[in-house]
Amino acid sequence: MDTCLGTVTVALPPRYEDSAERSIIERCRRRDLEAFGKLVDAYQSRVFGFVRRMVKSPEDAQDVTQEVFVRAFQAIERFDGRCTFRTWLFRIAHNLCVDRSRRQERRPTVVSVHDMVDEGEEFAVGDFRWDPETMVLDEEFRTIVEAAIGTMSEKLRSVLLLHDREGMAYDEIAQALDIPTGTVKSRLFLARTHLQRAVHAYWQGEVS
Amino acid sequence: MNPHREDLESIGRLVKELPEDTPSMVWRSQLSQRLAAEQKPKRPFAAWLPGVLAAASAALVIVSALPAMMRSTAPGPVVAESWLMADHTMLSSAADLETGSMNPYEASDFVSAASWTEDGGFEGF
Repeated sequence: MDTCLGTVTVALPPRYEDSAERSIIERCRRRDLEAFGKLVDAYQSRVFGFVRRMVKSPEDAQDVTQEVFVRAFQAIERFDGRCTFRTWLFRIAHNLCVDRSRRQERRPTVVSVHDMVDEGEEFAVGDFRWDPETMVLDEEFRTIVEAAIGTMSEKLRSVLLLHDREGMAYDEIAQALDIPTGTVKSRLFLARTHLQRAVHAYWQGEVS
Repeated sequence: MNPHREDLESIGRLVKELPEDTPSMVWRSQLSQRLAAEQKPKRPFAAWLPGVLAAASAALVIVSALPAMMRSTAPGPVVAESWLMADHTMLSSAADLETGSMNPYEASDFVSAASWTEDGGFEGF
């Protein structure tokens, strides 16, 4: 399946049907490396994209992503199917990212939306020439968005990425991150608001 | 429709449309190597068992034999006394033989001095 982003065409990884994925997982439980390779092929880009935005350094992202799949292979016998494989995999990824950040004592720049926004204030994009539907994501704008994601706290960033990039449902994110569903919703709201402010500031600068 | 909500949803779409990240082939190759290493079964305990049993048996034999070995080399009090007495007797005999720095011939001459008489005479010559 291909998705067209302006001039960029991105091939999305194949998504296995539940039953097909289950049979692959069963083979993986028997230490079938070829079967596990299929899971790696299906998820490597998505996991790598998530990890890269969580740990920032590309070298760390590569290490952590490899570790995610190695840990998954080691522990797949204990995968009980109570959640989807994707949720389980992203839980491993998230935990490893948090561990890596703690180990390196890297303190992300936490931008509190509460400091910038008054209670009940509504966000309206002043310049309506900005139309996200038709806008082509040029390199500069993409950099702004990535930078804004990077300045969020890990808590907001993980929820934003899992919901808006991975398309996970609130419940699924709650399972993966081991937090209540309500917390997922509030964090998503704050994350999007933070991103909106950054995008708005960028467009204000472009216009003036 | 709430414009604020609409804006936030468009932000969500913006995130979704960020480009995909694909790891390199080198990365994938390294991962395959790591996974292959993980696939190799850990050495089963059965493989270690003969070695462990042999080492344990050897240790058991040494531990059980040690007190007996120590008993056989260490002299008891009576034996030690007899050894000491024998040593002492031997040394005394040697000292007697060397009395006055005489050689054995002189010593035999000395023994013949018993032939001196009480009145100062000498019967030997």
